[in-house]
This record gives sequence, C-alpha cells and structure tokens, in this order.
Amino acid sequence: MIRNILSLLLIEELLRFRHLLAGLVGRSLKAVYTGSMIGAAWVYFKPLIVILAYYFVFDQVLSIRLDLQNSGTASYALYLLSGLLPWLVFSDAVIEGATSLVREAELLKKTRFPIVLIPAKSVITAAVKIFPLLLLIWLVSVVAAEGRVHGVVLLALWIAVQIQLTYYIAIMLAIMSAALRDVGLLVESIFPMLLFFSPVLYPLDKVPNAFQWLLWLNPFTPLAEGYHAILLRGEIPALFDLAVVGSWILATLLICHLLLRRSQEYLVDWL
Amino acid sequence: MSKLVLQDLGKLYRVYPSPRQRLFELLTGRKRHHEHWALRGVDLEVAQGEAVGVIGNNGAGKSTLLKLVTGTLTPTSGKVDYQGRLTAILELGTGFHPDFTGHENLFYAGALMGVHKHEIAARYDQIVEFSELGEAIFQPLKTYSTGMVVRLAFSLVTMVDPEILIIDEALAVGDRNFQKKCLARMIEIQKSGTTILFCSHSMHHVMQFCDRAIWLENGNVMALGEVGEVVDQYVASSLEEKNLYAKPRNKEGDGHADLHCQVTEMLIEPETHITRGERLLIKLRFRVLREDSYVLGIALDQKETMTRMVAETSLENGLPAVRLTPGEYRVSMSVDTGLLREGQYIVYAGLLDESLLTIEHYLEREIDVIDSDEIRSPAMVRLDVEWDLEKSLLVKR
Repeated sequence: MIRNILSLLLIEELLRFRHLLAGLVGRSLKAVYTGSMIGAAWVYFKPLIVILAYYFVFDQVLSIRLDLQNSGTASYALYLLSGLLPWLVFSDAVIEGATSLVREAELLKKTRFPIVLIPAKSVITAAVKIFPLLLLIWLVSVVAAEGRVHGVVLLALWIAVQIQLTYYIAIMLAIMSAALRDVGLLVESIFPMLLFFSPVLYPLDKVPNAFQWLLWLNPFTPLAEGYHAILLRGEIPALFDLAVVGSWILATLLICHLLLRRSQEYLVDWL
Repeated sequence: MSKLVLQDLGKLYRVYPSPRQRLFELLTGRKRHHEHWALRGVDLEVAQGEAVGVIGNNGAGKSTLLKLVTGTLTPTSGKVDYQGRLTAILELGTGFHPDFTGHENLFYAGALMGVHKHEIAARYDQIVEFSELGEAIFQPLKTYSTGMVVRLAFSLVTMVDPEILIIDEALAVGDRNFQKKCLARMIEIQKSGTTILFCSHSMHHVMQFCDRAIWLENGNVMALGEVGEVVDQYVASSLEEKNLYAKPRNKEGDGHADLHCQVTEMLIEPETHITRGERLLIKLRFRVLREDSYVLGIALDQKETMTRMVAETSLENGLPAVRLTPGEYRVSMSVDTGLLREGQYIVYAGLLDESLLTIEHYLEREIDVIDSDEIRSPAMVRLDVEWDLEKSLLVKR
C-alpha cells in the first residue's frame, strides 16, 4: 500500500536506490570543486555572491525602502534573503534538472538504472548546495525577532514541498528536452526571468491588482509567499498558497506520469 | 541456476522525421514516427558457465542485443531472464567519471552496478593489481589512456564474481599482453561458472573463447550454433560482400555497353601450382574499345581467408599510364613469389583507369603455392631470414 503510494509519487525508486542516489549527489557536488583550491567552499560561494549582488543593488544602490508592513519584517535584506535563497535552489534545480538526462546520456546508455534518479540528483544537489544558507537565515530571523523557534519544523516541511514540486518539474522538462533539445535551452534562457515575476524582490501587494495574476502563473510565487510567512512572521503558509502549490504538484505529477509512460521504452534512444 | 534466457527478444526503434515531431508525439500522443526493428526474434538460452559469442557486421544489432540483456535498453518484445549479478563492459569506461580518480571510480561504478562498497573494498587490492595501474589508480580518470580505462573496467567487472558477464569489444583496445591476460581471466571465471556473452570483431578471439556463437545481420538471427560453424558461415558471407567491393565496373563477359576495354585472355605459367620462390608468369590479351589512359594491375588473394596479399600496378613498377588507342594488345608480367606462404591463391590481372579509382576489367586464375620446408604458422608472409648462431665467450652465468 505504502509502496504503491510512493511509486505513484515517483519516489519509490529513489528510496530503493538511495545509496546510488547519494553517490550521484556526492559525485556532482564533488565534480564542482575537484581540482580547485578552496574546495567545498565553492559550493556556497556562488549563491553568496549572487545574494550580495542583489543586496547591494537593491538595498544599497537603489536604496529601496519598501513598505514591508504586511511582511512581518522591516528589513529589506531579510525579506530579500528569505525568498531569494529558496529561489536560487529552485532555479538551479530546474535548470540543471531540465538538461540532466541529456547531460548524463553516457551514463544512461551504459548502465541500467531508473531515469528518475537523474533529475532527482539535480534537485537534491541544488538543495544541498543552498539550504544550509537558508538555515542561517532562519537563525538570523530568530535572533531578529525572538520566539519563533518552532518555525524550523514548518520550514523543513515547506522545503520538502518545494523539493517535491521541483522534482516533478525537473522530470517533466528533462523528458521533454530529451525529445527536443530546444526545451532545455529554452528553460535555461527563460527560467531565470521568472525571478522578476515572483514576490522575491518586492512584496506581492506592491504589484498593481491588474497584474497580480501574472505572478500567480509562476510556480514559485506561492512557495515564496510560504517562506515569507514561515521565516518572517512565524506563521503557517496561507491556505490559498497551500492550495496553489498543491495544484501545481498534482498537475506536474500527472504530466510526469503521462510523459514517462509515453517515453519509457524509447527515452534512452533519444539521448 | 544462473542461466540466461532470451525469449523472442526484439527492439523497435521509433524513427522521427525530426526531433520536433518527437516532442509533438510526446505531448499529444499522436503518432509521428515510423518503425524500425533494430533486433528481432532473438531466442537464446545460455547455460551456466557457457560462453556465447555475438558476431556480425557493424549495425547488425549486436550492441542492441547486449544493451537489452544488460537492461540499459528496454525490449519492445520478449524478455530477458536471469538470476544473480550481471556485470558488463558495453563501451569504454562503463559509468566512470572523468574527474574522479580510478580509486573513486571503482566505488562509484560499483554502486552503479549494484555492488556494495564493502564488497569493492574487500577485493580492492585484487582489482588494482589486475588492472596494472599501480600508483595511477590515484590519478583522475581523464589522465588515463583508453587502454588504462579498459583495464580498470575489465578488472572491476570480472573481479566482483558476476554470475553473468557481458563484454562488448573490450579487448579491441589494450596491448597484446593485456588481451591475453583478459582472455585468461575470462576463461578462469567461466570455469568457475560464470555465463558469458562476448561480442567481438575478432573471429580469432571468438573461436578461442566461445562455445557457441550467434550471428546477427540487420537485426535478424542468421545463425546460432557451434562457434566454428557459425563463424565459418559469417566469414563466408562477409567475403561475398567484400568481393562486391572488389568487383570491377565491368566483370568478365557481362557485355556491358559502357566497357572501355576488355581482357580477352589470361594465361599463367606454371598453370596450376608453383614452388615458392619461382617467378609466376602472367600473359594477358586485351582489347581497348575506347581511347584512354590505362594502368595495368595485378592482385593476389589468399583464397582461404580472402586476404589480399599483393596489389601492384604498373605505376608502382616504373611503367607510367599509357594512352592506348582502340585495338588488340598483349602484355606479359612476371611476379616474384618468394614472400608467399604455402596455400591456394587467386591471381587477378587487368586494367585500371589512370586515377586507379576504377578497375576497368580483369580476369582471375587460381594457383597453388607449394613450399617444401614450411612449418604451419599463422604468419601472413615468408621472408628470407639469415640465422647466425654462435656461442658467446664473454657472457658468464
């Protein structure tokens, strides 16, 4: 029973091959920095630079003092970080994941293992790279406004939700770009733009009502709202956010099943 | 036991006019492909400890078959049944990562094959020793030569006690010593009960090592049976095909209208057999139908193996291309046979165009070369060697 549910959620195989998955994640983390001087520090260096750049531009240069009254914090830096860090994981995972099958073609052609492991590897690698920084933010937010220690469980759950959604999106795009390489390239060039259509750099209520629906088309919008709720206000994400994320997960899962069924036997040939 | 059973195994490829159609079909479910069977109807039962060779030309479906057995491809029809651990070298460097050291790759590729790291650790020394990599095992894989990569892969897949071992062309690289060592190792694990599927273009290796062979052509099984018989059939058929390439634009007596010239008579002296070292005399009569520049050529094939031993043109022997006007001509040539080993040969003689791209016309004769003092050996040619053996006074034991 549980097994059936897990396999329906496409995670049964991940658990069955968890050692291999761990090895794959380890390999891609290590591949980032083998032969470099500062070693594992590179994993955290890149997101730090990105964050510093955004902070510098928006907080210092443009001196944006947003009216953050509904957000639960007066600090733009905190607001920015609580959304930007998860976003970096999200975009990293989706972009890596979308081209993952094509990039690991050699591996897939020569060894047998479930293909979902490959996008899963991208997603987990991205998460491992950046989520420790998120914990740091959580610590800062706890210090900034005391009394939100229970938030860590919520945070962990919300992270799990994000990883699950990212996983399905990655599988979906990975299969499509195996069929047609343009998909991967398109994702690579368009996906980073979604940052500007999400409540990461600015609060949602600063967007004119007429355009808010545009932001809701972005799967990251409800996730970002959730992080704001948890990290800045110590609240459970709003019902509406939960419902939107839930629909995204359901829809992408269904598409994944459909694509997997149609491509299963031929996928390796396409690589 | 660890028997390998293939039942009606087949693989259908979907061929799309363009990748765009592929995505279209994936998203809409509407058919946009036509079908191509890369492999069809393979029934094969391999007993425990048996070695079966897979032979055939490039594109015959050999790799597809092996990939289906290892499970990297999903069969369209039929199924593969086996129990126990299956390891394989499909192409170079199965699952190795170029940035990792040989050492790290052993564990990593081991995990891909489903071999736990304790098991790799337990056999680690054996694996490294067999691979002959020495200290290089701690260098990144990308610094390895292809030979080294195969050595590592071969050590790994044979040292983890596979019940079934699949080897695709792995012996083609690596030096002779290692090839020998690999074959010895394969025979060793085969004796201990490992079932082996072995694909190679080297009929020599296949014959040496396999009990049975399966011959594939265009995805179909042409023959399956005792290794000697199957290899013979395969070699015979590929010879026919090879001859197609060697055929001139106009062969003997086909009366083609486009004939530029025609060899009308070919005589050889001696007629049926010749003692090695004697000169073979070839006399041709030919008719030139169209004025052109021509080159004379002869060739000699060893009949049994269809190996071309000699191909000489008059250009190479100091006689330039000659412009010939229509008419009857006669030519004679004499060939030294001192390099040939005993055996049957086919002698071709004829005319080529100036660029040597087209063989205009030729005839062929057979001849036996006899060599009284020859000892059987696999060598291709005989050279005269002078031996000078003497006892040296300077070397002490």
